[in-house]
Amino acid sequence: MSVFSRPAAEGDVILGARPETVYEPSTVDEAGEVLRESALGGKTLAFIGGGTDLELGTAPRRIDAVVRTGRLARVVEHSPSDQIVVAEAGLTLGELQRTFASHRQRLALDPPLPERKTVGGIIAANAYGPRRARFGSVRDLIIGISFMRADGTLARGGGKVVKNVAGFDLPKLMIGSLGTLGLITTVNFRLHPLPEEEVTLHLPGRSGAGLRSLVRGIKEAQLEPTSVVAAWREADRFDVAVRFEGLRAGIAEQCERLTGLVRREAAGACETLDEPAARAFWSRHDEVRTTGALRAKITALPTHVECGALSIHSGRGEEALAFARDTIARFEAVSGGGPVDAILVNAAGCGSNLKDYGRLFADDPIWSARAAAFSAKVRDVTEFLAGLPPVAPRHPLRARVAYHDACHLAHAQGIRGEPRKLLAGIPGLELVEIPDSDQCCGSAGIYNLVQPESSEEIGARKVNNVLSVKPDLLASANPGCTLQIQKLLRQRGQALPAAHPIEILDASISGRPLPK
Amino acid sequence: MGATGTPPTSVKAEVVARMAAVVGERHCIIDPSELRTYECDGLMSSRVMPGLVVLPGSTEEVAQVVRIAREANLPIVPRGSGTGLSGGALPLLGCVVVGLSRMKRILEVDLENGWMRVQPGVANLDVSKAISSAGYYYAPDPSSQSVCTIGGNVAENSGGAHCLKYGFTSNHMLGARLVLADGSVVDLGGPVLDTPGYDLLGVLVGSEGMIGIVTEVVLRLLRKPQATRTFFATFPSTDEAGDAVSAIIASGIVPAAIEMMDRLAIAAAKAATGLDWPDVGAALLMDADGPEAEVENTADNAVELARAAGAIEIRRPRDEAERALMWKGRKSAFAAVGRISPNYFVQDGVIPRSKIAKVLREIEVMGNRAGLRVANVFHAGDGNLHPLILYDAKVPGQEKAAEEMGGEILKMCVRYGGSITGEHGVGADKAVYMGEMFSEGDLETMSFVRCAFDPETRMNPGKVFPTPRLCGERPGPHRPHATELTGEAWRE
Repeated sequence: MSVFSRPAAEGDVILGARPETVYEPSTVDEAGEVLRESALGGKTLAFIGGGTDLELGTAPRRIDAVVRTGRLARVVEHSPSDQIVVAEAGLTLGELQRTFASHRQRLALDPPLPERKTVGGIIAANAYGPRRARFGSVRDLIIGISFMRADGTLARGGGKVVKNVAGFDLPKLMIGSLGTLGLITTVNFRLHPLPEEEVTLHLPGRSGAGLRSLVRGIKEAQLEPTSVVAAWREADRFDVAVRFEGLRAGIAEQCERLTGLVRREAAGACETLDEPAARAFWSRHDEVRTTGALRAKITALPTHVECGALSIHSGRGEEALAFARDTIARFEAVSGGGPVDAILVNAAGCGSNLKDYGRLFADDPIWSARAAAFSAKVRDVTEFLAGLPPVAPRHPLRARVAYHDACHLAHAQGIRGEPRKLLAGIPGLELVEIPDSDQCCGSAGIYNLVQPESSEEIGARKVNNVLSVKPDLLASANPGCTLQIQKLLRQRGQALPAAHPIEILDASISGRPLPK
Repeated sequence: MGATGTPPTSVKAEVVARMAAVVGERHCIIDPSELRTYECDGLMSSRVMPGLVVLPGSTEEVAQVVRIAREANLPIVPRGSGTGLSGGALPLLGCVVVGLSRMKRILEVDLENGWMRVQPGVANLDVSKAISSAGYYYAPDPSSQSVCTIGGNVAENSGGAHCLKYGFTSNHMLGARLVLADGSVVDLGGPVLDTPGYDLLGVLVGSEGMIGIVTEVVLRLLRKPQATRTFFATFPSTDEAGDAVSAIIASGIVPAAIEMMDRLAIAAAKAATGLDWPDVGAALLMDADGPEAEVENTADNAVELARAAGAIEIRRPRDEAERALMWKGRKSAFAAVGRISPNYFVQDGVIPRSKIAKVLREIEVMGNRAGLRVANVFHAGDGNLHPLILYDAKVPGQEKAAEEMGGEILKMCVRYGGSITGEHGVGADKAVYMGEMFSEGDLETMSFVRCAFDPETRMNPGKVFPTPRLCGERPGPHRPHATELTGEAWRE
């Protein structure tokens, strides 16, 4: 082959899979040559653009060679009057944006690391940024694609006009496909005009409920921000940024109305960030998104689901089954039949119930398979994280932490070592063992409600044991236990802060003080 | 009359009986006079009698119907309300048409999270009507929106005048439940923005009934904009109107809609609605929407640009009633052309919008050469042309000439870097032009996608693909035909 190639180096390893060779084709024809020859030789290929999202997807078992797209980096066509661009896959987003600047146009897509992220990589990884709130994600901006199939055949879908329904929507099929369907060679996008002005408002310290009312208020007032981002600060406090873009006059009026909206709230604060402050906020936002400890794509359920644990605990079997069926169906709807690796839960009581669905429905001809498939994916969050290698540096936390084994975690799920492992990995943190740690605290589902006396007796023993090791902080992975122990401590006039192991881990990773 | 009529010989009585047992006798149509309703869709020049029409009432009934059809080895053609203009719902001789018209319930509405779950037979406009009083709406607005169904919109990836700013069906669908060709039921997407894995929902939208039968759809709902400003501008010719469109878009304005009509279309719309529009060479109708202060400026700027491009007169509606009337004029223009010509073809093609003026002149030249009049009424903002080719079927040769000219226009669209269809779909009508736009490799890849869902090509066979093949059948290298070798025929 005439294509530039070299032996693979450390930077070419993808999730532990080490290729032998790296190819860097500089034309689509050369790329075709690599793919065809690899297919003939039965070689496994992977593709790398900017390499910023290589940890997405399942780890490959074997990679023989990597194709890097960095030399396929031309702007094939930019038609300012039609507001479209055709770009090769290896071009970085930053470089691409600069080609439009003089025409006052942009690709309205703003994932972090634009100087490293490539056009092809953005498609393959479905990368997005905060402007998605107004302009949508890649699927709303792509109008055409060319990609090379494993057999070296070039395939195109879509076209160069914004409106087009001829043939299957191959461009969308390639979004989020992580290189599994072929090598993306060129991408056609629709462009948007650069706004005359952009303003970011900062609304610090809102509660979760305050966030919801803000979003409702924005919709109610028919405001049209291009981004609304909430950054978690502490406990139930979020710092919110709202960005408006467009004509100067329109923006001023929208900012005024949003400010008015916030002022009408009891403790609402709202400040307009000047340009450097706004830039700092958004770059900090990007930084947080790219330097996080663990990168997982989280799909949130649109509404609260009731898993049925409390119904089970109180003997309402039929009600529990109804909740369980609803939970399974809602998770299935969200995953869209796609590959969800794990369903994470952070409350021990819920987790043990979710893991039990398979058994609950074992004799149900309609639900048994779905319930079993669901339960097989449920993991306690500590169980899931303990199975991953630590990536982000841990900041030291000076504290004596007592870990309490929740019955629903230790006995029901057999999870004892995992939370301890996560806590012990924090420098400076002294993990102390509570005597008889795996004995019940007396909360026991709703036992503390139906048998308060006996529950308090059991609980007193737990509290004595906790206090005996003189901790600064109690770690507990079940809300029922936390409430019970805290209540009994308060009755004795004792104060001992409590936190979920994940809150403690997060404090260490993000360099924040421990929850008080 | 239902299942008591005489079944066409192509569908066995036993199959009809099984279908009737699933959907109920009166929803299983075999009477030839009733079947006639289903022999074509909006592409009325092509008609084929189906063997049987079933109207299932639930996902489970659709799944059973599909399983029975599969066991009887019958092709399946899904159908909404039959307004499609490309023959996407055109039956095959003896096939089963699965009509979704009975499945028209709105199942769930969640305004705070901005979505609605509906059955496929719900009419497009009924979605917006159901939530209008709460201040929300569903953005895609095809001209047939009072009749056309959400299921049909999904199949065709329907657009409308306002998709310039808001996008097409594809941009407003969050999830779908569908019955695949083997009778299995799958869910794609869900009521959130992204779901993990391949964007199969994206593939489903616009797949023209070849991937499965949609039985539930989760739609995205939008909050109504605070204000809409509309203006109507007249021009000496389509040249100036085309320039105005280019100038408005180039200035950074994203209009909600910007529609163009030429002299003939204006005359037709006037004849149909009694609007007092002047006799001019071209007119634009533009909507800008958004927050009030923003829109006020946008509309003023656009008006200035239209004047600078040579607008003769600018009219702004005084109230909502007047605005509705202007839009009525635009939306009725298709049908109105029937008042100025005994017959006409609607064509649908896309060009880069900067080429509008040039392309319209070329179309005029083509018309003159063929001795045919052409009316143009279209979505100028995104270059989506709808030339209406006027002819008289009673004049020998005119229909054929009109058809040929339609084909020439599509080829021209491709030459200018555009598309053979912007919103009407490929269907049965334009399958022959797919090769103009896509290579053998492109089409083969698309057919791989189709075969991944339906290896027996049972769902809506014969549509979209120019050279139907069985799944797994490889086309191989092109072997030239004998006529190609002798130079009598060639490929472009």
